[in-house]
Amino acid sequence: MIPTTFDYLRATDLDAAVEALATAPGARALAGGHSLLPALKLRRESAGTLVDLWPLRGELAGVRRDGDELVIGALTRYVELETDPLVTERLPLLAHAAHQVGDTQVRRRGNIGGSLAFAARAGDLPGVVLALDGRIVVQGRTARRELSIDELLVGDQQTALADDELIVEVRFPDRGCLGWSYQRFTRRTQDWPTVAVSCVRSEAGTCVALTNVAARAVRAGALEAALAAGSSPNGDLAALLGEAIDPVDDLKASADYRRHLAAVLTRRALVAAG
Amino acid sequence: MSTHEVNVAVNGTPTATTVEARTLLVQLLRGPLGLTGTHVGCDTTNCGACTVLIDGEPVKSCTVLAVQADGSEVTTVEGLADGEQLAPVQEGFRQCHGLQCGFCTPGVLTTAAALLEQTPDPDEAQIRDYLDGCMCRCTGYQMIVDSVRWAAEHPADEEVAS
Repeated sequence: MIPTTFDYLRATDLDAAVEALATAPGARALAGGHSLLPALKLRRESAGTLVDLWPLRGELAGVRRDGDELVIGALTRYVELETDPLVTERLPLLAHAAHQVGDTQVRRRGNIGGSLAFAARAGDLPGVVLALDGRIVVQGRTARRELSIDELLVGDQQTALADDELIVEVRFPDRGCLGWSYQRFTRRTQDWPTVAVSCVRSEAGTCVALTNVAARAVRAGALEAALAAGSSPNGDLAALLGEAIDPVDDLKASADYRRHLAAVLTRRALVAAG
Repeated sequence: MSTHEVNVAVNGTPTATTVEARTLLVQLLRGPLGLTGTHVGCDTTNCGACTVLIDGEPVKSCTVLAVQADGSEVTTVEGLADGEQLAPVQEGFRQCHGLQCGFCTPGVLTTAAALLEQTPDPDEAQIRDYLDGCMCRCTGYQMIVDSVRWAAEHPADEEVAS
């Protein structure tokens, strides 16, 4: 049950949704609800008004090609990311990672926009989108803007979105994937990753992102530079990663164990991605 | 706290109920609609005992507001049988002892029914993967897998000897 009270309104279109977010008291966006509703049950979040975005799926869900970019609507669900032919062919890292999230039921409500907007430090998709250099298109009351995934992610459940802004779509450069790997360590089924590593190799080079080793997903910049310079970094992985990551102790794992996992999973990811 | 009239077709029957915004779909089903087959096992979106089909798709009804389901078709475990004729997955659970305490069973049955609709002949790996959102503390899962395989091998158009 939800012990806190709030109002609910169903958005009719994107403009109405953004207007409601800007003007309704304590407005929060409700998409799949599988991050927000559990948080409301635990009183970790509060809301004056929930603005239901589900009717916007007609305009904000789906995958398409736009020139040399792949464009994914914010309300595209995990189950759709797993199976869409453009995603499985051109962004296989994303298709595979989407299937690891939650479970069958969760994947029919959770969606890419919600995952990025909630920006949980252990969430799978922010790190994946970071490795794929996604750009986020955001609609506010007065303007539409575009920001990199790196600009969007600020901290644990903190983003650069203003209160009246909604993610509309995520745009990925179609680099042609030569190899990829998603290494996701969990202790139990349905767990958030203790640590995860996203790796994708293309003509443009190798991108490596790590999940749950810092307040937000991070790119392994020093490692990528070493790879681009042609070095084979296996012996120096921990040192190369050390600059990017700042893990914490929590109930799942110690910071030291997360550092260990980060190096092991990165090594496996690099091998698997070729 | 706003209240809303929620119109949901449940197991083929139209319903109209006034609920608070915060009322969960599982609370609507079990309370005003009297359909207590759907269970609340965890209320933390893990166990899957609350799973129902919303427009044919398995969803955890403890993590959906009743108002979100306005205008949808919902199938609960009570809606799987055709009168006295059990659905193949229900008969499979009878034939292969797919339950013990039965608490997880409604969620497993609705999810498995959705699987068989999408994949009529799933192998064990596909069954285990699709049911990854349903937790069972009694059976150790193998008999659940056997029950779903039985249902795949005995689809609805066959006669079943009782």
